[in-house]
Amino acid sequence: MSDYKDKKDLRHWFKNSATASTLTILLILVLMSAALAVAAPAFLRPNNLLSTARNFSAIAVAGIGVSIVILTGNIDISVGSVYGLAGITVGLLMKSGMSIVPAVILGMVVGGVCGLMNGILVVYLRLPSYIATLGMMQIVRGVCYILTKGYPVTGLADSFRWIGQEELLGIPIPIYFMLLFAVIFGVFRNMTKTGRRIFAMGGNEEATRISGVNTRRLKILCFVLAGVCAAFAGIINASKVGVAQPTAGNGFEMDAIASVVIGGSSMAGGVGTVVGTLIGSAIMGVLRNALVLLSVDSYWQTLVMGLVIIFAVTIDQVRKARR
Amino acid sequence: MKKLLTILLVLVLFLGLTSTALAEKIVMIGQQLGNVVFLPAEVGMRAAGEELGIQTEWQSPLRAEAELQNEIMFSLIDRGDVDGIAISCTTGDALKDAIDAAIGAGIQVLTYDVDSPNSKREYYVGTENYRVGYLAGEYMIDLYKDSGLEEVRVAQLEGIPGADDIEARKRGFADAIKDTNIKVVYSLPCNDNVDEAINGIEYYMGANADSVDAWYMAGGWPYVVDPSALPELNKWKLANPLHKVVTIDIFVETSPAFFELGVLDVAIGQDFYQMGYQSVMALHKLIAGEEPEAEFNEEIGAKFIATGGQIATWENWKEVIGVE
Amino acid sequence: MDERELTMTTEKAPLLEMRGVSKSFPGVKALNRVDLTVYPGEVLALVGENGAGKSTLMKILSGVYTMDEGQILLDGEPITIDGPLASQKMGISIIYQELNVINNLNIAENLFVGREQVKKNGLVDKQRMHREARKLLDEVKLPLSTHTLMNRLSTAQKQMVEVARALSFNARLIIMDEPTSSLTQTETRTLFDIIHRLRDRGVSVVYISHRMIELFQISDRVSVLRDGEMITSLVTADTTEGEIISAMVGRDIDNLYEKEPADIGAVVLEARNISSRDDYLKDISFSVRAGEILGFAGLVGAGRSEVMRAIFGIDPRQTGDIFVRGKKADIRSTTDALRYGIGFVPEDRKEQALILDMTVKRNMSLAALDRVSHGWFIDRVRESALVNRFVQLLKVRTPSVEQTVKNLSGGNQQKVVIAKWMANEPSILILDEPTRGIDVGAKKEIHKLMSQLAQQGVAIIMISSELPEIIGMSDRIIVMHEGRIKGEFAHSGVTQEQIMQMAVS
Repeated sequence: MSDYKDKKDLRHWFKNSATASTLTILLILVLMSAALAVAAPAFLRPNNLLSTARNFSAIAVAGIGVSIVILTGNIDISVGSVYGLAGITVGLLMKSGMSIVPAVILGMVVGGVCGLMNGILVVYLRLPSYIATLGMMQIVRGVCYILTKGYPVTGLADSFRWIGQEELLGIPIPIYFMLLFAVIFGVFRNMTKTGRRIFAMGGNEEATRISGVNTRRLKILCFVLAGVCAAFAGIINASKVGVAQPTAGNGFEMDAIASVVIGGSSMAGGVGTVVGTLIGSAIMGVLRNALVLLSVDSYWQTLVMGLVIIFAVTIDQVRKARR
Repeated sequence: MKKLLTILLVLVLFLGLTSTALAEKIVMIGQQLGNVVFLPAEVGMRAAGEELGIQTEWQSPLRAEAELQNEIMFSLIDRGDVDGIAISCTTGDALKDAIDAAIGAGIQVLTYDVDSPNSKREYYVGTENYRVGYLAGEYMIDLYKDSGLEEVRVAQLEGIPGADDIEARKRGFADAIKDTNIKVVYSLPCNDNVDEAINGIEYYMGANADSVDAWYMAGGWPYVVDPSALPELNKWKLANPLHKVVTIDIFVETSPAFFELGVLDVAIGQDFYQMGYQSVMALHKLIAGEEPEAEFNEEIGAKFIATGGQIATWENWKEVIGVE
Repeated sequence: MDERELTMTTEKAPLLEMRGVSKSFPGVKALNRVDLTVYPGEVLALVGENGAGKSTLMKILSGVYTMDEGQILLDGEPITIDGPLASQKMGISIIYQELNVINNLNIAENLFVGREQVKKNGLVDKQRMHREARKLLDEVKLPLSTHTLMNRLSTAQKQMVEVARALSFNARLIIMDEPTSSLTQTETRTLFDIIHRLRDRGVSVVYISHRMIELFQISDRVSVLRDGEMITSLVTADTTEGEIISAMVGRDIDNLYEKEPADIGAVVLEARNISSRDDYLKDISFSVRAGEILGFAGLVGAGRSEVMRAIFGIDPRQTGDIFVRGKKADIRSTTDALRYGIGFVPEDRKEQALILDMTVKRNMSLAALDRVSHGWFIDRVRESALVNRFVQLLKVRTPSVEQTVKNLSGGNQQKVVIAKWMANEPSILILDEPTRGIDVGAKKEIHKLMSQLAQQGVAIIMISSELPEIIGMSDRIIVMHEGRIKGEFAHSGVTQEQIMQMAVS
């Protein structure tokens, strides 16, 4: 009777482990950066590196949230709108006198509520996630316009700018937040019961449900987390530019999702790492930086970004599939 | 008794409906819902509407796309209750057919801000973007007239490729500096997106602060935010008095902060409030069968209602913008 | 092999002969030197238990599988069937239980899909297609317009269209797999009419079914398969139901499956009047005690899995109550069932029980995460200890617990699933076909495990289609048939025939 064959050699590990996947994209990032450093030495200037990192921190934070939804085999394209609404919420609250900490917390709560609505649509109305979040994307963006009547929220207290613009020990604050989110969610995914159940649900939802897990509540939780992360990313951004714009985050969902996918998460669910998402967002950030440093027209930017996404994911597929 | 009430109700409804249907209605179309620049136009439109006692509507597409504006135009024609339309075209030629169709349906149509020269419109309200760009060029020349520099290298910020208004401003600027020592060495398109503009400028200045003498912002995207969002640009500007910045568009709420910090030299604003106000006034006259006051302008190819603008410089910005 | 010669049809030469046909799949020999003969113009019933090999045999005939050894002769000439199209062209058509129709096309299009007639200019010749379709429908006496869309037809009507399609291929042999499972009495009669007409035209029909009554109504001969072997072929008119059932189940029960004695305690789970939403399950009531193994027998589709899924909270049920240890249990989700101490090992381990890409360790601990955690955080040490304990206890063969469960053999995968539930220390354990697709050695081990669990006081419900297993392992046996409980047997003295009799009628 044939029993399981021992494949614990290097090749097997290389094809199958999450670490191998992360190393592959890390390699891509390093190569990209090296090439850029040669073509435009200004890339390596500390100011530039920190500036780039500051920018992709927002993508990383939102990406970390979205990656939990993607882990379950779903998608959330409303993150860009939630990003905008959170910034506006904090701005309006602070304009009416609230101090920054409660305002930011409420902004994140708003993000969580949007996520909750996404979750309810997907779980109870059984809408496919791309349709539910597409609808929410429009609705939330509409709320942005309605709340502000199109005007950016300006004239905010200096404390508003702290998150996005200040530095601590020479490193921009957003980077600290990016690492904080990474650690929190890394621990959550890999060390808690709920995190384990989410992975299981992503691998086989029916089997997980039959194993006694409340998959409905769990799925909603994933969307709520994505909403909270998207909100914080939007708050970082609004703080960085000093005003909260109703149009903020238009198209941002593409960046967030791309960073997750490049980072090795499978759209089918069940596979992915937080570090991968960080590297994915770093790749996106370095790419944007590269395009300006190399004086590439914006017209080419979207084309190049698309090519990079396809390239990075293909390399990963090749690694997995080579027999 | 019931019968009487029903008749009264129907009569009231009928009168109500017809009165709204019969009321004069003017619709203004902007380029994009999120574009801050158009907000004063809406305010001006409403003010004029209140003054004249007519109904005004503001319609803008979600994205700055000609196709979306066309959709709005055609649905307004189909509605049947619109008397006048004022539109700022994303691309003039793309709106030509819609404008002509509206005129053909008996609606009075004029263009504001961005024109559609090949259409049948007879009036244009605005400041003529080419002129504005040319003016910016003249100011740039003036700023450097005593600099002693051999060559003035200018970085340029533009928006969505091919958008008529920005293209006209670029052309105006280019023509103004044509035979001078001022050259545009880099052009950064920002896709009409404030964040992209800021990130692009910051990255570029982080790397090339020594190879640029001046910035010409053909659109005021960076100036809707707080100056603290542009540390690299500001650092570069303050490092050398011969570094100059000229921008189009004045934003009453946010531009002053930049002048205050000394990181902006000249801002050429268009008066969108007037564009809104004047468009409604002009349309109202046309609907009544009268002729608004306007002179025919050769270059534009239509009767031109100039709304002028303001020019704020590092010297006079406080008075011009009217800051408290 | 026992064969009674036929008096009627021996004069005619066989239409189709299968000689010494064998077919194996990894780990299981599905067919072992099977001989089958079909005469022209006859209706041959093919019967056997689940897993006897009926559908494998037919799939070889219809070109879906290739045989490992053996010969097929058509009109006395050896043929090779290398694909479904080839089989169709030779005049063999098969009508599956899950009908093969394209619902959004109309009848004519369905009849000619893949071989539409075209005009000279390349466009489909619709007029001709509908004309030909009309002729075919008239042959099967289906008075519908050829323009009718398939999704407006009843199942019986769809079946007739399938028959018409078979005829359009000039079929000489039509295989019907469980054709009456979704038909009403009237529709069944219509189907029989058609089968009679086919027979009159010289077309043979191989009729696969469990329903004894029908076999006696429609067939000329009956061939019985058991465990992949052809046991006998009988003339219907000359045989009895008892004889056929004997042939179906008549195997030696070896002591391979014997439950070890355990003390039987109080009633732990009681189900009363459970009925399902779609009326499929009707009034299911039963109880099971601590230390007892309650076997559920019946044919596939009898509703056994559905009952257990309803009890475990997987599917919502309409009416009925469940009592756990005497108190009413409100079970509306699997989480609820878990809280009441119920465990469920599903039928399809790959789809319903295992996260294939996760490790053995993570699969095993999935239902017991609360037991190996401190608050929110999983205690890896405790988790490893728990998992290692069960790996040893169940003798799960894997190089390490970090191995992806996908790579384990079927038997070991099943052990992982059982371990998952045992880790949660259930007081009631439901197993749906626990040893299906598993090698003999692993089967024994799982049975031993079940005995041990019973000895520890767990109440066990086991669904199985393997009669020897059910008889050997169960203290009591409940037989279900088409959504209802037909009867109950105590362990001692019950025969396979008795169970099968109840399961098919």
